[in-house]
Amino acid sequence: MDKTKKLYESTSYQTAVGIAIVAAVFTVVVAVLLAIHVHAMKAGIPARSAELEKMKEQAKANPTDETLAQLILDTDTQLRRDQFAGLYFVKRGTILLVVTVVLLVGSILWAVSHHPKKPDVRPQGDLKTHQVRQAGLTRTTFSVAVILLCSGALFWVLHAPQTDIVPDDTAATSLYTPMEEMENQWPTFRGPGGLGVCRFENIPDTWDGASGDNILWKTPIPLPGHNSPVVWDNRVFLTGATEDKQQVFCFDADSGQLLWSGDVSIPANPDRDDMDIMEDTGYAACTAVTDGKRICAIFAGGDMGCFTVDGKLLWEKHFGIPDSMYGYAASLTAYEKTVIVQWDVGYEEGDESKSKLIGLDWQTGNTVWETHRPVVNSWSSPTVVNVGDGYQILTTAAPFVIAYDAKTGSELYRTECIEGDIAASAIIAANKIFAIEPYNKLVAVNTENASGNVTETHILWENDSEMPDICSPVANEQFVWTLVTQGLLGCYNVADGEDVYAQEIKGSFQASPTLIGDRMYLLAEDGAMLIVGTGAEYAELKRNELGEKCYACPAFQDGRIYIRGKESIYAIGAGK
Amino acid sequence: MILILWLCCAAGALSIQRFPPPEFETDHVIPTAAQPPAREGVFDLLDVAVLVAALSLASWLVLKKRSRKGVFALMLFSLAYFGFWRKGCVCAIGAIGNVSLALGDASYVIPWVVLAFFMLPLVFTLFFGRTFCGAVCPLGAIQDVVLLKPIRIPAWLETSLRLLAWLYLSLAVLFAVTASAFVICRYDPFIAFFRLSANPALWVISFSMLVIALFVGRPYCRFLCPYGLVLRQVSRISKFRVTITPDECIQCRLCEDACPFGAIEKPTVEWPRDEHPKGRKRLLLLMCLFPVFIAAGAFIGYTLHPKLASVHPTVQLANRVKFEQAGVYKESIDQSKAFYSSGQTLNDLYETANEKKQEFALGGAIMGAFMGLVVGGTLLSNSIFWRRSGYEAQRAGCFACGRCYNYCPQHRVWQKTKKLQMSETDG
Repeated sequence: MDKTKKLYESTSYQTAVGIAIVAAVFTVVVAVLLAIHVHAMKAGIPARSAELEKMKEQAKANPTDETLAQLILDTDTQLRRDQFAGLYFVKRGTILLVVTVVLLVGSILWAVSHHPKKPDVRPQGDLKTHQVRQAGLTRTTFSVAVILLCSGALFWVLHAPQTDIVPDDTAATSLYTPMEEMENQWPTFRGPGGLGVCRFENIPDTWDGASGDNILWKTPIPLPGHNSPVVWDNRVFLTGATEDKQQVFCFDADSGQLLWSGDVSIPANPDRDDMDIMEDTGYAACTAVTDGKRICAIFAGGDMGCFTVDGKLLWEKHFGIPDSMYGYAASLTAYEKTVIVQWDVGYEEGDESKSKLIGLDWQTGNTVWETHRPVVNSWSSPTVVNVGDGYQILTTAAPFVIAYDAKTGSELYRTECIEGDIAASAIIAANKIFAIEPYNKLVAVNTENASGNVTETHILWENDSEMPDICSPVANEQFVWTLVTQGLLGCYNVADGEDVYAQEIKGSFQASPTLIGDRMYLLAEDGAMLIVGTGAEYAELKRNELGEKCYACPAFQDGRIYIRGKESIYAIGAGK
Repeated sequence: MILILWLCCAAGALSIQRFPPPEFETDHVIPTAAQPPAREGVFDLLDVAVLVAALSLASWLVLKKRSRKGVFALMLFSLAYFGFWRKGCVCAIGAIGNVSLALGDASYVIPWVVLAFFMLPLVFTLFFGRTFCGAVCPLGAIQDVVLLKPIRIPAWLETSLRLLAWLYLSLAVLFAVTASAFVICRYDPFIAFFRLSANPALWVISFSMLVIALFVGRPYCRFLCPYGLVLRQVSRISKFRVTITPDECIQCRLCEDACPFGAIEKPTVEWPRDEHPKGRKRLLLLMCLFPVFIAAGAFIGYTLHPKLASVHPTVQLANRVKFEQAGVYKESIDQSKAFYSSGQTLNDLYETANEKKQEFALGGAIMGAFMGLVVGGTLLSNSIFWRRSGYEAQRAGCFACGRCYNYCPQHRVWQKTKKLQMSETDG
């Protein structure tokens, strides 16, 4: 008893206890102060940041207000100072806290060391029973622990939040538009797939620009361009550009009102001054593409922009100035999740060629795939067609007609059959691809069992009549038609390529023909639309005048025609 | 408690938005993030030399000198040098990650210092037992120093909790081999003290572990340390080892509760005869079940592989990008923005992620099989009767800290005799 009392009265013990008490109080004080400081930081800084954000918004609306700009600068600097001062305080406080905790633990250990633990020698029980029971208990609890661990693992697998989705599941595709939906709209140059065939037969055949008969509306287009309108439900899109401005426009299909216009930026590039842009091509020759959720456009300078259909810019991509003789003109197309760019540039063929076909993600603009093309620069547009069990991308550029897998962009087959400056796009009918070599020939390529280089095996026929240099052909199961710029409509048998007729028609044509049931619509440069029959003999059914110059292919959609004139866009429909 | 509460607050506070770089133009060049510069060669040599010296001294103090005070002093030195001075790096425990990565990735060249820190304690343990744990490891030292009032953990709980360490070791190796993460280093529970800097979550872990260490002897070493597990196995076959008594055990039972780590085994009596047939049957059954444990473990490990793979940065990025593409996330995070601007295609990213997942499928199955092996082995070892005639320090579990020496009357006699011999020699 005396010994214990002596121990508690010893200076050493009392010093240890004293230090422990002081350290404990100090620890609590430091901890509380830190907690208060941290709370103040957490409450104060975000509130002041919000104020700063508000000021920044005001500055956006009033960019010339220098006082506001200076205030933003000062507030921002002050906030940063406060933030870092606060963090410095927390860091130093933490160090102090650790030191006081160490002191506290050390002093307690010192105090405790004054009465070391004595051996605890209690009488032993039945050692045999204890041993057996101990081993059994260990096995049982260990087994339970293992079972719990396994159950935990299985629970994790079954109930943990999903961190993984396969690329092609429904969640992933819901953001994208299936091809079947695309085929019911006019989403690309020359309509679904780019074939120049309209599914709707209720297209008007009578109108007059001068009197306004059946002209639903006419709206001026803010910027020039030769690209065609594309249509999705009640929205009509087209683009326009000059040397220093490029825009996407969205019009209301019912009223013609310009709903929004979106700028696609032009990066500073000294090469832009050297761009070869023919007047006939212009800065906005490429037709945009829409999937009903987004609209994507590309311009002569290789600048691409994608907007939501409501006009919010999603992304931009700049490929750089294309090496193109007359100005870049390939329209965009799309397949499911990808926007497809036919980037045919330069003058080298084969491995040296700079051309490529690019698949970009609709939502982000990321490159999903990219395939080198062994071709020189061209002005044709890719078409997306359903062949057999899958979709293929058909392209034409000297010297090849090449088909690619629309999903992966990998080359499926090619035919070496065209030369020159290719502007006409490839089309397909009756399992045959039709491609035009300007002025010289029309070629039919069999798509059945085509793989690799099929030049020797799959060219079905060639017709060397006078062929167009700009307009793409159009075809049904029986005939294929070509339209020469100077006004010569050629008709050929799909089966063997034999001439059916060649008809001179009045007018000059840059817009490719469109097939609607048993009628064909041919839009002349002077704005006259010829409607001709699709029989074995030429028959002009109607001619409607618009009264404005037209270069772009019209868009046809459920009872309407949308025609881009040089200055304005027109909607034509029955009943007005 | 106050500390933990405060740290919880701090966790939130420190997650307060950090400012982006200034929007206005200044002359200040924002430094690029980089790893801390490598330690110069001469200091590397110094670290290894100190490690060798410390291991040698620890082995001498434990086995020859039998001095707890000496071990404690060395422990404080190791805590100061390897812990606070060298900031817990390089450390033998974390080196498991480097060694595993070197085994999994032929292009990774493991620094010689790291290899030395991994191998030297192993070699010393092979000869002298776990003297590294007892006196050289800074993580062990910090826990040993703060041990205030140890609670005795029963053997059944100790064995079950050790399963966590096996799991941690398996996961750490899997993540390192697949170049996913060095989890041992990332979640070192005492690094926050050594560096006086850590993220709030790690501070909470560190303080919690320290608070537990006040009442449970070396909780990290016993129930989590992956390197400790390796050393446990090596020390089973060590040439020399700690003996509580320098002479014959007189079974005075004074040392029975001396070890706060439960590493002293009592002498055993003969196994009851009526238990023999039951024990044999159990042993036979467990031996038959051994392959089943391994197969079940492999199956579970394989099933878990998609979840495990999500630790890998590329798989994480691929999953994030997929969700962004699917419109589940409306905003991109920095990593996905960086990917989008890298020019790499989505297909490439998904392909790389899938390749990684395949690695995890194989790795997960191997990891699971290994865990099955551990489970089977543990059950077997607890079904075998081990004969002991006196009180012994466990071959595997003893940390060689020397605490038990002073409880043994034989040791005291040995000490006195030694002192006498020395004074006679001096005289």
